[in-house]
This record gives sequence, structure tokens and C-alpha cells, in this order.
Amino acid sequence: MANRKDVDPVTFEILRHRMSALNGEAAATLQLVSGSPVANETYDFNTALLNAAGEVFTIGVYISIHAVSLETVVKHILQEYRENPGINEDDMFICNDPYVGAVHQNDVLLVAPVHWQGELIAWTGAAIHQIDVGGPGRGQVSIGATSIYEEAPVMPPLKIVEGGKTRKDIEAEYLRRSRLPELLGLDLRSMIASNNVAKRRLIELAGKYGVETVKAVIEGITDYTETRLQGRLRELPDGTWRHISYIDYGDKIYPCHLQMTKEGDTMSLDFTGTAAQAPAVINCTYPTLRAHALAAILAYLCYDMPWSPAGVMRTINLISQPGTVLHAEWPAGVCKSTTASGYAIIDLVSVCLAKMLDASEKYKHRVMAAWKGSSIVEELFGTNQRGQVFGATILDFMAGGGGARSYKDGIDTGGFLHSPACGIANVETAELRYPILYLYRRQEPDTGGPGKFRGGVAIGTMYITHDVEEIPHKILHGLGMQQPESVGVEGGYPGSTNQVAFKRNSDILASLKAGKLPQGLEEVSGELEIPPQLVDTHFQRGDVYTGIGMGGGGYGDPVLRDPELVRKDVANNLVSRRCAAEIYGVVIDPAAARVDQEKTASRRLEIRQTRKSWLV
Amino acid sequence: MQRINEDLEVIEKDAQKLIQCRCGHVLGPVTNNYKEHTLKKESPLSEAGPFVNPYNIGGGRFVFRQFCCPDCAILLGTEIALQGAPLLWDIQVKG
Repeated sequence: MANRKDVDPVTFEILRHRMSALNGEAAATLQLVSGSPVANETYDFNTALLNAAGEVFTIGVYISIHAVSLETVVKHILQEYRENPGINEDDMFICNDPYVGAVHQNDVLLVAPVHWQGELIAWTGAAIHQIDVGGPGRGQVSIGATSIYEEAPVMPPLKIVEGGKTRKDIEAEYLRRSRLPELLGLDLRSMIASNNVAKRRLIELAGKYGVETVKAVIEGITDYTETRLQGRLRELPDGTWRHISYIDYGDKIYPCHLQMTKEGDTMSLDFTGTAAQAPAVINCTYPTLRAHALAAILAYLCYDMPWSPAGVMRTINLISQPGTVLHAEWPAGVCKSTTASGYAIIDLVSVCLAKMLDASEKYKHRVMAAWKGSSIVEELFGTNQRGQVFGATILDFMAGGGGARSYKDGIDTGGFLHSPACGIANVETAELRYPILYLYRRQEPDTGGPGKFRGGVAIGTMYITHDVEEIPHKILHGLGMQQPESVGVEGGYPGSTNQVAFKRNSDILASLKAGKLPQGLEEVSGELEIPPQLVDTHFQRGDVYTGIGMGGGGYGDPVLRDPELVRKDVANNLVSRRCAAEIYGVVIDPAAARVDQEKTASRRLEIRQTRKSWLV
Repeated sequence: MQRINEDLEVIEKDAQKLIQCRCGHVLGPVTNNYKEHTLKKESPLSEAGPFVNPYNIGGGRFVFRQFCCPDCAILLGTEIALQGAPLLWDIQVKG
């Protein structure tokens, strides 16, 4: 059997890039077949390639946790199903079980073994977020659930494709439970198509280069990542970094702790001290903890090497306690894990990695303050103006602010850390499919964490119903409203919290008729309503809904920011004149639209003098 | 000298490893949380920005902490913490 050393470097490079490209082709296939804006515009999906043992060695540029999570599903199948029902050529297994490996019930995975002349040589996998997979709550979250039994149903791995044919009985069972069976069925086909393309291309490679060479390169990619990451870790200072992130779930706060220790070429991530698990909704399981921790490490440390999660995992020691909110035990519910505990994990690991990088002269330019934390998720269910039943997941708040760099601002509405190719659906797509009308969707000023370098600003939206009397179910679930999660580094401030509000029974229709387009909720009259963090509410004609997401954390003391950059921020409506003066200490002459140097110097001196009166 | 970040470094003085601000002010030994030796302010979250929990959801259970050098008054760190929680010892570089 060939090993990596037998493969010449040129062939290795060709094949590792080819495998990355074929995984990309699989992802493109999924998008082309899927009818969902979730897959096509929000990119809430991913694809991956795995070795015969189920270790992920190549992932796509979409949401990384989806790809990383395939590993535990495949390993479960290998362990439990080898004899019964068997793992045969052209089979595929579907799964949404978070206790096996799906990150939560709405992120459905489909994995496929790849055989060469009867020998299992690899696996391919795809995962897409589904708008509705059934259960007592429409959409993703079962508000008020007290266990996983009260959330969306859970499917351990099931052989849904057998010998290349979709099993109609399993498919029927899967689709039956959903309020949107057509969309669910189309997405299933898109994952089948994606896996078929990846399989075909891998088999072509085996035919062209020899199966032993292909296997050697598969293992070599993981070895290469491991070696490169170990080398990077050796160049970084040894030490311990700590952070606490919080999950705000109604009346209760769940602190999540991380102590990250780096010594030599290994790192331990110790989540000891994290709060005990909640009954349902916000928890995550160990596979999800692992997936999110790896996602942050890939972004911060692996930017110039193949993204092989298996290679990364060899350098990491993950410590957590079962029964905690980041390592829940059955039957704790996890339906909101990706936008609750998952983001807490990303925050924890990100902040510790940022501070570790900041301690290195060589890698200080790789620092990023925390990117946006948990998203507000909006789900709409009802009948549109054409009489069609619809269900929507609106993920606008995924376009959060990027963390500030040590030499540059964070990316405004840059997305979120664990989706390099993040996107959100076009406003026009939402307006075409759902009976809503956006009044605005914009980069919201003063949401990026202030600093010498500013965190990226967040998104702000406002919309109303359109051509319907009511959307009976507007489901909002948003954490990160009580405390900012995207913290700053080295004196940088945090980014904004999530926030939503309604004006009920407003004058908006009269305003629009008069040609006035409001630029904020304060310009709309009506009854202000601040909804609970998780709610299934109505949305009626005449109501106005608005939301602001999370900005990125800042880097460095805001009073060290170049005043000219602050002036530009004000001119570009990313920072208000008020915050410019109060936080950055920059006074802008409104008439001349330029920095008043004298008043700025005076204001900044005043800020620093005031600090000297703080407590010891 | 071991860098901690752009503002702080570990220096050796009289056989002791100490944390020093770049302005030259010595904060304390590496065996202590450097935050203990800074000037501190604890405020409502609203001081962190106009869009940091503007509706005061949760009734002010979180606070915004700022830490600055007693000499040059540069901000060395910020924290979001539950009221009454101890200071987070966030950085311990092996000097």
C-alpha cells in the first residue's frame, strides 16, 4: 500500500487540490439542485470528504461546522451498522440526530460510502439547514420545550439510499413529519446529487492515478495539516488564556468557561466550569462542541493550510464535562444549539486564540477580535398573497460584524466566523417568496465595537407585511440580547447586542402613501413592543418590525484611533457624530466636515484624565 | 522580554518577572492578574455603546468593565461580566 512518502510532491499537490475542487463541485451541485434560499443565497450548508475511517480531510468554504460534524455520524455508522444493515456500494445514510453528530435537528446530513472494486476507500457528505423538519414548533425552535422529546424529531442514521435507489418508505417517513415536505424532498435530492458527484469524481481519480495513490494522498492531507499546525503552535508563545461567554436564556444566564493552554505543539481547550445543561433548546452535544471549537481554530490558525479537521484534532485536547450546556446529556434538548451554545463556543475559542496570537511578534497581525456572536433567527409561516402556504427562515442577522484586526477594522456586515463564504438572501428573494416588504436593510451605525481599529458594523433591518392581512406566525429566537458576545481585545469595546422591536398598529401605511420612508423606529408612531427573546407572535398589516444584529469587537483603545478614520466613519454613516466625540474623543466640525484637531486633542486629554480618577 | 500584547510585556527585574505597560509603568508580578494593578471602572452596559442592550433586557445583570494603566491611562482591557463576578484573569503568558 502506498503511503504519503511514496507519492511525489507534484502528484500530491495536484491530487489534494483536485479533491478540494471536487468537493467544491459537490457543493455547487447541491446549490443548483436545491430550491431553497437557505442553500442558494444564505449558504447554510456544506460538503466534505472523509477517509475510510470517517475522518474529515477536506471541507467546503461554507458553514464549517456542518462539514466537521459529518465525522461522528460516519464513525457511528461504521461502528453500529457494518453488519446490519450493512454499508454497501451506492448506499447513503441520512441523519439529524445531535447525539450522533448533527449539530441540531434542522441541520440534516447525508453521507455516502465510496467503494473501489468492493473496497471502502472514502466517504462523502453533505449537510443543509432545513426550514422545517416537523415537531411541535414551526421551524427550528420549540419554544418552551423541556426536553428533546418536545423538540423536532430526531433521526439516527437511516439508510435512505440503498444500492443507488432512494428507499421510498424511509423518504416518506422523513418527509411526512415536515410542514414543508416539497422543499425538504428537493433538498434531499440536492444532497443525493452532491454525494453522487463527489463519489463519481473520487472514483475517476482512483481510476486515473491508482487507488493506493488516492488513499495515500487522503491520509497525506491530514498529516500535512497536522504537521503545519504543530509547526505554527511551536512558534506561538506558551501560556494560558481564559474567557467566559454567556448564554442569556430568558431569566437564566448560563456562563460558559474556557481555559486554553498552549504548550509546545499542542493545545488543550478545557471547558470546565461551564454551567449545567438547560432542559432544552440552548444546549449542544459533544459532537457539536467539537465541531465549533475546530471551526474557530481553522479560521484563526489554519488560514494557509488544507482545512483537514482530522489533522487539527490531532493537536488538540478537548476537555468538557457531560451534563453541561456545552456537552449535554440525553434527553436534553438542543434545537437552538447552533445559534446559542455553538456561538458561545466560537466566542470562547476565538477570544483565547486572538489573545494568544497577540502575544506573538510574528503572528500579531493575525489577531481578530471576536466576530459577531449568536444570530437572531426569524421564521415566518403562513399563506402568501398568492394563496400558497409558505415557511421562511430569514437569516439576515448572519451578516454580522467581523472582529477588528490589529492593523485594520473588522469587516462591516462581514458574516460570521465559521462561514468563509457567508452570504444572506437578497431582499428581492425574500420579497418574491414571502409577503413582506423591506423598508430598509443597511449597515447600522455605532454597532461595531469601538477601538483603535473598529469592529465591523452589524446589519439593521425594518420590514412590514405586504399584500396580506397577517402572517400568523412570526417566530423570533435571539440570544445575545442581554449582553454583547463579540467582545473587544486589548482595550477594544464589544460590538452591539442583538435587538428586535415592533411598532404595532402603526401609521406606516399612511406614511408610505405620503411618500415618507422611515429611517428608524422612532420615526414610526404606534405601540412599541419589545418581544421576549423566544416568541411565536403574529405580524399584522400595519405592524412594523425592526432588528439590529451584532457588530464585531474592537481592537485597542478607541482614543488611539486615527481621527481621520473616525471622520470617514462618520461620513460613511458607520459611526455617529455623538459616539465619535464620546467614545473616540474625536470632534468633527459639522460645517466643514473635518476633524477639529484642537477640540479632539482636548477631548482625548479629558478622557484620559477622567480615567485617572478610576478606582484602584 | 516576552510580549503579552501591543500594550503589555513581561520584563525581568531583580530576578523577578513583572508585567509592564509599554509606557514603562510596572503593573505587578506575572503571578498576579495584571488587572488587579490597573485603574478600573465598572459601568452599565450602555456605556459600551448606544446599541448594547438599549432596552435593558435582563435588568442590568451585566456590567461593562474597563481597565487602564495608572500612568498613561491607556485602556489595557475590557470585560463583560455578571455583576459581582470576580475579575477574569484572561492572559497568562509564560514569560
